[in-house]
Amino acid sequence: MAFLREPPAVAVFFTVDSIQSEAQSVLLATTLRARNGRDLSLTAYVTPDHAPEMRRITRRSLRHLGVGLAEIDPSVILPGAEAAARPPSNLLAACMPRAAAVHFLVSTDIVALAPVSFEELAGPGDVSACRFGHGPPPGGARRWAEGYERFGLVPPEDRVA
Amino acid sequence: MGWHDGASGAAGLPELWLDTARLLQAEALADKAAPQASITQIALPIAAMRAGRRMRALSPAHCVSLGAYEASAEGGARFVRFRSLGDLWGSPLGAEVLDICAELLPPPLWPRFLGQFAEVLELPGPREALAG
Repeated sequence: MAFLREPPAVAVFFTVDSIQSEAQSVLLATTLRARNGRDLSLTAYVTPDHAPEMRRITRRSLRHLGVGLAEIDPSVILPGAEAAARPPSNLLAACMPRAAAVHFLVSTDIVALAPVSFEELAGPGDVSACRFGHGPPPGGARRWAEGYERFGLVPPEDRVA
Repeated sequence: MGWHDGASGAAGLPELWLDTARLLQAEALADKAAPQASITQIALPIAAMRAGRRMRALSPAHCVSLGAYEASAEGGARFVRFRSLGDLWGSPLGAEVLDICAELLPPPLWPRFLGQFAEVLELPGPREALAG
């Protein structure tokens, strides 16, 4: 129907789970908006622990920038999950339903430098990641192999050069 | 180097991430001694494989460190990652970011934001001047 907006092709999202990420989220959203214009869909997912502490000025600033605000509800995403066993907040945010073909999770310790053609970086259904600055997990290759074997899979040969 | 060396930005479908979250949860419950950060790097590739999808790397050139950006004036970079906000304000890029914020967040938003987040933002100078 004419009055319904088409879902965005790309949804860019990030997580706010501390006072630090709250401050950084405004810098990220502002630079993303400045470089990519008003049409880019941006969503900030706030963790339930941080939501009551989130400052009004942050909410107002993000709304002014056209950033959607949503609270993550871990009990809906992973019913029955113990708090101690819950995955990181970024991952829970990624699980939230969004009406888009391409979903981009971005960290809040970055700022945008230039326009980004997200559709060209990753197409619908692609699973892509940008490695940056992390070492291998404790246990290295053995830990990877154990992870795959736990789920009956053989570790892939593909490697990032 | 593997796929597992971390993700600063990632693209995928919520259903796949949900499978990843379930994998992580199963891992954490099975082995509570394992820090989740270490298995996060493994779970996404596993979930992708379970869904019959191939993972691919986004070019690291899209997101560079502040140091690398300043050293080489990376022409193709789309994002800069900073180690701390203090480092960002010490660079020309930091001044540009402040200008952009002042332009897109009109008063009272940006001045008020600066006032409330002065300590968190680690701003070096008088915030009144930075607020424009």
